[in-house]
Amino acid sequence: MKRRGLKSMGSFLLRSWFVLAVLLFGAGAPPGHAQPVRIANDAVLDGNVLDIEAPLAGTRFFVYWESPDRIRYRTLEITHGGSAPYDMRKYPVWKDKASAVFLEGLGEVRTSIRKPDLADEWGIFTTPEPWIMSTVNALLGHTLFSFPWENLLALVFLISTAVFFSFYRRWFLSVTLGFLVAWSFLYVTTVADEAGFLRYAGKTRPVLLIGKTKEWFAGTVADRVKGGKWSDGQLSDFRGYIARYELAEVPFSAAPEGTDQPWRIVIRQNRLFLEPPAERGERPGETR
Amino acid sequence: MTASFAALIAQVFLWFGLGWPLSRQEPSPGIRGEAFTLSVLAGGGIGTTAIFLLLLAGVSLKMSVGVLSAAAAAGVFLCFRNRGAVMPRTPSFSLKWYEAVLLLILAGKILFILAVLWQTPLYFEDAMTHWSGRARSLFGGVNWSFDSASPVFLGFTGAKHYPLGIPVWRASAAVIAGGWDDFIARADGLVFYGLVVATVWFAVMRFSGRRWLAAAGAFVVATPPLQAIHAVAGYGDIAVEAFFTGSVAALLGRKWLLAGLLAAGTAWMKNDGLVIAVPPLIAAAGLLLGSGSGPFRALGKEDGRKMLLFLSGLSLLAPWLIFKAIHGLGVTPGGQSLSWHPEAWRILLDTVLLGPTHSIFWIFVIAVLLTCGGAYLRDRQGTALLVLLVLSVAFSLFVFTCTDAFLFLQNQMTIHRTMLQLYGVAVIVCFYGITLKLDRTIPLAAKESGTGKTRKRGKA
Repeated sequence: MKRRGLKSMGSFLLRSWFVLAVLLFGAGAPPGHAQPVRIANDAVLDGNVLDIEAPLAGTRFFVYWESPDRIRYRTLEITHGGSAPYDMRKYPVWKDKASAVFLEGLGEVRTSIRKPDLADEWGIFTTPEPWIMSTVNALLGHTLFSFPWENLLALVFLISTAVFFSFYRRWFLSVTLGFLVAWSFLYVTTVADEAGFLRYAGKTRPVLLIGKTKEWFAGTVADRVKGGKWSDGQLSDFRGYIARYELAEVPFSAAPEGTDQPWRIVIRQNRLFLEPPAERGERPGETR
Repeated sequence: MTASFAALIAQVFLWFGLGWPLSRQEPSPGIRGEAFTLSVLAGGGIGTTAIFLLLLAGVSLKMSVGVLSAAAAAGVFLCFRNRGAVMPRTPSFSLKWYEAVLLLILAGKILFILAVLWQTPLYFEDAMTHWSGRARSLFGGVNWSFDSASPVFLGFTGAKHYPLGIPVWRASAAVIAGGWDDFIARADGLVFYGLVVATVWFAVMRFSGRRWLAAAGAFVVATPPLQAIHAVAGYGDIAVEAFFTGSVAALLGRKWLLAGLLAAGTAWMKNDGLVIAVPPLIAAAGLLLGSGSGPFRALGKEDGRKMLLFLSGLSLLAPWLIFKAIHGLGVTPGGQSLSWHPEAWRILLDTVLLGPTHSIFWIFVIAVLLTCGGAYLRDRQGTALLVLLVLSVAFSLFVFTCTDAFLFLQNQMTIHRTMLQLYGVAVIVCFYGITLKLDRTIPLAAKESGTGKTRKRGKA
């Protein structure tokens, strides 16, 4: 009797709707959802950088600060990974004093607001372009001693052009050669960025998250659904388009109800679940 | 991954086989190796369109690729048999130091691209939806239909109004590879990157005869930061750049049919081509007609034939446009209305001209146009190229400043990718102006030809 009871329970679990659950980093807490954490009071901002120890590169977070006359400012930043200085001096409003400085999106991390030394300036300049979702659209760029790198390159372009003009007395030739000199400097920083991509791309939060999600769909889901159909009525964020990419070769069902019984991918409490098709009735010889 | 890489190479030769017989119909003096790059582009445009038509006719994807492979092999065989064709080859010459440096730079870029393709998954949203998502649906066959009543009409992911050039390109590569993976999903970006760089080198070499200038042009177009990113991103913008650059190079070589084909290719790869490439190319082609010193002078019957050839090539786009019209597919995600945004110019200045994405590239373009402006206007080809670039940039900026697409300038989601599509053309136009000035103002004792031989040339 007991053995039959256990067998029935196991059978029930196997035939139940609830099958698999996968934790995907809790989908991460997108910026703005976590509470801002106050990191400094009455902080001097002029000429200072923000040092943050953040475990994973590529995480979006906000920096808030409030001026003494209670004006609030906010900037969106991307973590570099590990302990790194963030050059807030590039923002014209990062000046004078702040009555309070907050971080949102990182939780409790070690931070400080301090004067950068030469090593910090070099670290800021050589921090590679992060590999994030917006990289394909626009780059964040570099700063050197708080000056945008492209502004410095424009200066190099101008100076080189002037030098060449003094020799050749031809504007078109001087502009061309001056540009090639400045562009060569850009090429060097681009190579450093590309080396950074190769070194860190697999370790940034967005790449890890996307990679894990793709693995789950391409592996677990594709294996379970094999020979069947699937549907994804509830997926509207990045998991939705990853699902449709990884399962593009598996028949999709737009009508999950009725006679068409697909496997369903659903989200509950920010976790992905794969639900099997509904039972089609008892098979002879089995009991509940 | 090895099979995928082999499939990538095989597909390049498949496209070459389809495009070369056509490219040979319009022989023109110049550098023979140029025929390879233009043939691959032309073959890619023709091949993907042919596969699209075969799919519409109910032929399977595998069969369609098989038919085209046979056609490509037959085409190449006939070329060799009928006219004793010689394979286009790059001229032999000893490498200059700056060319060796350029090759090292390009080798580094290609290694980076291959490393990213091998080590990282397909990552960006549009690549997983509009481009490779639809390509994979097409390849799989089960989530694809050409019936507008089907829930999987033109795939079940991505925008349906996006043209099918890229999805067909990638799906056919997956057929050759025997399966899909994230390498196939993006590797054509490497092909387009190589084609852009090579086309610019050949074009600048053709009109300048100066190897150092050609090397400089290739260096400039190969190294913008966004260029290598888009070679691995899986988007369609670099494809538009490749076809646009190829079309301009074909026009400079007076290959009218090829130029029209490649112009069609810009819009077959992405809708942007319809606005930023096709109209300026038609204008440039028109300005190149006539035999007088200025545009539209001494027009003859031959000019009518040339324009007819160009438009015939452009008609490659007709099947897709007809299909879109029948199924009511537009060219934008939603209704786009005109709306003037004066604040757009400040954003353009800060992000495009002075921003990190393009760095000083567009400042250089403006500086060259200003210093060489008069030279362009005194030369018929220069005038055509100047008008082409100005129109392309103007149309691009119009969309972002005077329509609802301003949002994509404001959030920088699309503006930089659109400007990337103009990189190759901008470099060709700039270096053409530089060549005009060099020929005119600096006495030329000798000019290196593509074969490495020098010939005396008097002061321009």
